Amino acid sequence: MTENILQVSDLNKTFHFKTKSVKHANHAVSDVSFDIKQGEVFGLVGESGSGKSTIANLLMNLESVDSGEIIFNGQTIAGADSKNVFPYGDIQIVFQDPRSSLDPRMSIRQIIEEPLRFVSAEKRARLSGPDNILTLIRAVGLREEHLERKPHQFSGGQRQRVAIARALVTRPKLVVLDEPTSALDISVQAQVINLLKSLQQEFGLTYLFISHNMGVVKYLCDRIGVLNQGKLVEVATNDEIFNRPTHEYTKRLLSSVPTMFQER
Amino acid sequence: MKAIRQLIRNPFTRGAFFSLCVIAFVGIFSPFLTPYGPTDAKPADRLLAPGHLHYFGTDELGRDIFSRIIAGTRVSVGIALIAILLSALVGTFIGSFSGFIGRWIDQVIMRSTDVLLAFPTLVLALALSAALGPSIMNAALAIAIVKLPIYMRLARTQALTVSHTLFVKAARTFGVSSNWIVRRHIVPNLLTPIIVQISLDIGDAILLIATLGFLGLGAQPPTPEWGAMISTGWNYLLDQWWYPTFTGAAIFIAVIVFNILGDGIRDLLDPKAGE
Amino acid sequence: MSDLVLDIKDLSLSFETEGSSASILKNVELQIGPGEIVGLVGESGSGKSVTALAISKLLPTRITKFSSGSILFNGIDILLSSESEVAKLRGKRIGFVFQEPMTALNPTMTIGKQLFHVIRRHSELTKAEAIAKVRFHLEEVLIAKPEIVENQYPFQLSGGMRQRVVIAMAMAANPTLLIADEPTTALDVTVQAEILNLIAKLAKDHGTAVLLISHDLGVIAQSCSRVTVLYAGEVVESGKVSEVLRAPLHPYTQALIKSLPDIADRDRSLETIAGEFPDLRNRPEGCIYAPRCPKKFDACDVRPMLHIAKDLHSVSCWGVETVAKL
Repeated sequence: MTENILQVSDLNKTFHFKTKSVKHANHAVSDVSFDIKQGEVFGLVGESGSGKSTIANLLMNLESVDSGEIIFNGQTIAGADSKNVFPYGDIQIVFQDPRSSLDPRMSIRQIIEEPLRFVSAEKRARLSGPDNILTLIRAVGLREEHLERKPHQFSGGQRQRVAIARALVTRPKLVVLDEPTSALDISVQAQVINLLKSLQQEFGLTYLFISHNMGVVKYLCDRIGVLNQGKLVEVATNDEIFNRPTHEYTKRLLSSVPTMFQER
Repeated sequence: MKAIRQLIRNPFTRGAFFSLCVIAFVGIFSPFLTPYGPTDAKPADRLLAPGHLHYFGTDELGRDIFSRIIAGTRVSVGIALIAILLSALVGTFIGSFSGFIGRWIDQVIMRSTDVLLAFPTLVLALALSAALGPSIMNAALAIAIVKLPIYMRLARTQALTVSHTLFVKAARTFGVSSNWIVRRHIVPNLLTPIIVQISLDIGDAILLIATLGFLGLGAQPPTPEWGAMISTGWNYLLDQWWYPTFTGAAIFIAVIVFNILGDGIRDLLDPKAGE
Repeated sequence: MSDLVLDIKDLSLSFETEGSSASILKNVELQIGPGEIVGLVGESGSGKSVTALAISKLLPTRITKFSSGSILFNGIDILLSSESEVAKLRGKRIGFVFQEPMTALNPTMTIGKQLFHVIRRHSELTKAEAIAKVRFHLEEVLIAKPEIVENQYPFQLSGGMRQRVVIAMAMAANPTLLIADEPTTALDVTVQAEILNLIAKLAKDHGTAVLLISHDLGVIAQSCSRVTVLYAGEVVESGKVSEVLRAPLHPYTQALIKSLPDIADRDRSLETIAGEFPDLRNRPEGCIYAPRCPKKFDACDVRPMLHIAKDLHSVSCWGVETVAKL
């Protein structure tokens, strides 16, 4: 029986700001609840302002939760009862822009190794050998000699591969992918998608795939959650979302995507 | 390095770069280059005009001016270098932390830099130097303190930008400490403007040391320091023109060399020619 | 045909910097008739944005070297015209919409004021008439409350609204040609469709020809009647959108479409293009796509020419039978 690796319940996050002494509250995330089963690819789709980036930030402990709970691997990592240290290394993230998510002054090897610095001693001992790095660099389709070079010597697609290797170096249980292919060319996108798929099988990963590209989501994701202005309006399987969407917004989203395959 | 090759292309910076090499050579090997001991007084030979025995003549105590200028390189340029590097080091770290952490720490540090910046450089250097007591190390310290706010402010501004980059955000998700982020990510990425500022400031520091020396603060006799040499020397300007002139030329050349280099480095590093 | 709005023939250009020369475009052909919406599609490095900039002489003069070809805009030879002559065309007869609206909008001026300046610059209207026209143009781009938006600053508007304003400014002088370079890439999906529809509608109402540049095949499919596919600075295929996207002839176009995940089988890997992008500093002798082409054969050592395979559908590939040489 597949367990839930992530359980998000009634998550809320509001940003407060003032313009001309008028207070505003931006309810970035409102009562969002969803689960992710071990081994699945869960898609989160939405437009700008939908809250998908905020949810990613909350999951990665970059922002604090206002109310609600996040249970990861059986442990509460955010919310009322959370006294637990965030499981760094067990959840990793791949960002959208490969040009700025890698420190231009570091070598590829240093970039990939960095997450190992602050994980538990046991984990570090297990994963710090040169073999791990070599395995990873080859798994993402790059070569050993690339390790000593700097990011600017690589193309966008290659840099994104490095970002993926970096995310996997700690052997995470959950990988959050925030629009990982949106900044890439069509032909490169296909390569990276194939890579993500094969890595999932090779390393037994679970993905939270955030995207606004319905084509990619349709191909990769098993279950999908649709976000609209901070609220999760629909959560269903791939087949249900694309063939029998129930919520108005989902239908609107699907119909407005410019695709060459519209007339069928 | 590719950078040096590019510097050499421009005739101005080429000249400056070679002059810098000469100055560095002189500074490092000065004990071997002085024909006479810089502090060897020989009153019998006082105030001799430049000739083949004494290239730049002698001062009122019969010391060879040429040797004193060479020895003075270590003092005037070397100490300036130390002062600026100290200032840059401390200022960069404080400023980066300030910019990265933000909040009230940032405010406190920035207000203190405002206070320091409110004083004209020379006045502040004089005050500090006088308060600390006249000695060459105190002069270096005074200059380091005077220049500190510049580096703090520069580093802070850059740190603010770098703090918001995606790779810093990524580092946060690894659970790294703030210390690590500042050391490994922020500082290396703001080095460029700092390096430019350093090269421009060295010329200024040389002048400051000379000024302090001229006023009797800073290097004390018999240490050969260019400013101090001019201080005594200019009394003799009318009859023994060589006394302050060569020293003055040394200061002039050193400052110009560093200024041109600084400009060259800035042009080189700032608008980076595309990859 | 002499009534073409844009006639690019055999255009080749390179960027020359100290020591190296990169061949950016080679023998590019592109024609746009009055009122047509033509798409230019390609990935990064294809040269599509460079082509757009070349049309109005906006490439950096110091490093750009034209080695062959011509760009005719309504019969005017752009390459032979002076900068001041071309400057008169920009904004007035050639309108621009770029990917990021904030590159065209002044953040310190209200929308109304910016639109006002554009209108005054390109017309003989009086101040009062121009002010009225501002309202008119804002309504034309379907902005709901133009009287409010007029007095707002760009930062107060959403991305979609800003792009509408940019389109209004681009169309204000009623240009003959509108160049839109990735106009919807930075926008949300639901807004994308609206903006594309808007561009098509305005083009139809005003008879404006549109060059729509995008890397997104869906965008091209929705709005364009014809499309030209660029790869590494060369035209590999060109024709009606329905033909090129539904039954592509060139292996590159075919591979591009096959690599889209939209209708791919979830249980199979996506098709990818092997090999790497060519080094433009050393443009290979033969077919530019040959190193990556699964269908390559001996003839591909020689550069193929763009030839007509079916009516109005031309392709640059030895593997496709010709109807007539272009």
